[in-house]
Amino acid sequence: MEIIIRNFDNQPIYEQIANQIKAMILSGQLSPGDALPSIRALARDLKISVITTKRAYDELEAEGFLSTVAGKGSFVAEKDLRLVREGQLRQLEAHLEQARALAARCGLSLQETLDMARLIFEEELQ
Amino acid sequence: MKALVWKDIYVLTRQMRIFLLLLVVFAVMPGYSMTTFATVYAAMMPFTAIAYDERSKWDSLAAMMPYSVKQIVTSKYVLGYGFVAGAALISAIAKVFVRGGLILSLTSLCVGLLIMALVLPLVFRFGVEKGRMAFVLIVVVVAVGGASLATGVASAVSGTSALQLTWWLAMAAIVSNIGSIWLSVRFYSRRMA
Amino acid sequence: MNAIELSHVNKAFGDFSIQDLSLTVPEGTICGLIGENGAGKSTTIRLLMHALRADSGNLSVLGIDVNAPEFLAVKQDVGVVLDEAYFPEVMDAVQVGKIMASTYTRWDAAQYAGFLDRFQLPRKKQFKDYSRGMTMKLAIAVALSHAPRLLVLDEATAGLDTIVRNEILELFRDFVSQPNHSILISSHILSDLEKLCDYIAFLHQGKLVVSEEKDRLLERYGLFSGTAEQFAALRAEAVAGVEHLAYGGVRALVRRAAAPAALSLEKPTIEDIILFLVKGEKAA
Repeated sequence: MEIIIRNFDNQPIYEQIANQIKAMILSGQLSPGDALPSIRALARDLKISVITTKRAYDELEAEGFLSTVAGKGSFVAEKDLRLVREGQLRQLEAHLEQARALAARCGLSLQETLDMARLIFEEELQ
Repeated sequence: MKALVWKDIYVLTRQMRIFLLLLVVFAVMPGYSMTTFATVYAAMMPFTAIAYDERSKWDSLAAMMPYSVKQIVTSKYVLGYGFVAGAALISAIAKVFVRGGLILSLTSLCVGLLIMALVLPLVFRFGVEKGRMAFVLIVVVVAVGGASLATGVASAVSGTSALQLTWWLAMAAIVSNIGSIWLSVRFYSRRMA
Repeated sequence: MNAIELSHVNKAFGDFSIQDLSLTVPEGTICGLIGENGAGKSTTIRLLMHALRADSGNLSVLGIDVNAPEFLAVKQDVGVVLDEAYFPEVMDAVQVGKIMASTYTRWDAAQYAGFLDRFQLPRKKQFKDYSRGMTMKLAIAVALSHAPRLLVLDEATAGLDTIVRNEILELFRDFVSQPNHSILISSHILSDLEKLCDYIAFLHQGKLVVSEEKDRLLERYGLFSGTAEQFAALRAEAVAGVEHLAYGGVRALVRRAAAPAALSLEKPTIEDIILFLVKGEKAA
């Protein structure tokens, strides 16, 4: 399991953790029933606050990605991932629609918009 | 409590060596009262230990540890009692062949306890720096008075009056120490007010 | 349960006073107490260990009121490192070990010996020949060797070089990774506390100015850098502190919630936040 905290990032640390674990679950890297490190262990290993780690887990739990068994730890929840994925795809679609509208307002062609998207994707990969 | 007394014994290791060395010197030098010297030096030991404590601000640290004020204060008395008793014992052994030697040692023991009872509350109240002046003054008064008393005791060949005097001195030493500890605990607590 | 709980504590002596200090450190967390020299950090620590009596207010440590007779036993569970208060200088590490063995009921001689080796502290050397760093390391070894549940550390990393400081911060982090272990640490080295703590409490002239979860504090504020004109466009309630620079530049601490979302802000450090807030305090 790989979690990377970026300090210069304006995204709050708990969101960074929650998003990365979410991504791992959605991509199938983590499967339902898999145990996650304890809040204390994760906080120590990432050298971050326990409270922030707990916030990340709480958020994941509230969204149904995790379930915590008292005394045993946190596990990846049994969740219909297709539904989650579908929801996220719908979100993506909505964002793209917004992007299209913006591109139209700026007078950008499809090709120009795609070039811009490619740049963003490549930047992320580096 | 045990820990606190041991701490001071470790702190005073060097002083104890010097003490023994000086005792030998005084024992072989005629005309000097080894007993008086030994008593004063022994009664000074708690004072020396407090001086070391002050220099490293040990008291601030001790206040964070599981010691009560009573333990901290009485440990210094217990330490002093040990040293004064030790000094009296050594002088008793040295004088075992002299008539009246035992009573003299007993008297010096009481004098040592009296010095402690008078000095320690002042040190706990005013600190080592100011306490030093009081200490010198009290030692001179008590030691001179005590020494002349002790010589008086020694010269009184008939044992009864000397014994009586020692008995009164012992009572005074015990009563003054009880009062002294009570006062010292109050003074020490005041630092935390 | 809270490891430390102070509520409305007042203490005045001389021309200095602690005013209406309320602070809680939940069990399992690390709270960093920051403030300049004379702000009241050491006084706060002495108050909560009952080495100094408060004029008013309630203080409890590990669930026990400091005025209760049982509090003496609580001190068995608290490891303390103080700034500038040490074992007498004529003692050595071995002697301290022996004394602590009859002071703390759960003293672990093997663990203590382990720390002496790990910190490379000479056993038979008198403390007067120790450097400041060595003295601090010895104090930390003592504080950690009697199975404490709470560490109270007053400037425990002062006088240590960066590498050793990091090693010791790592030790503290390991300490709290065990259940129900908590730390209150005071320091004027803010970067240390920023790395280590869950909560930040900032004392200024005897008053608590900030007491908050560290990451929330960092999330709440952003740093603005721009021209006076750009700055003027910000709403007044968005500005928590401002600094006018030469050549027309303005740097400001901005509340993200009240600032326009599109405004580009840098992520501040705890030091930035504290400095701006103190400046705001002085101006007010």
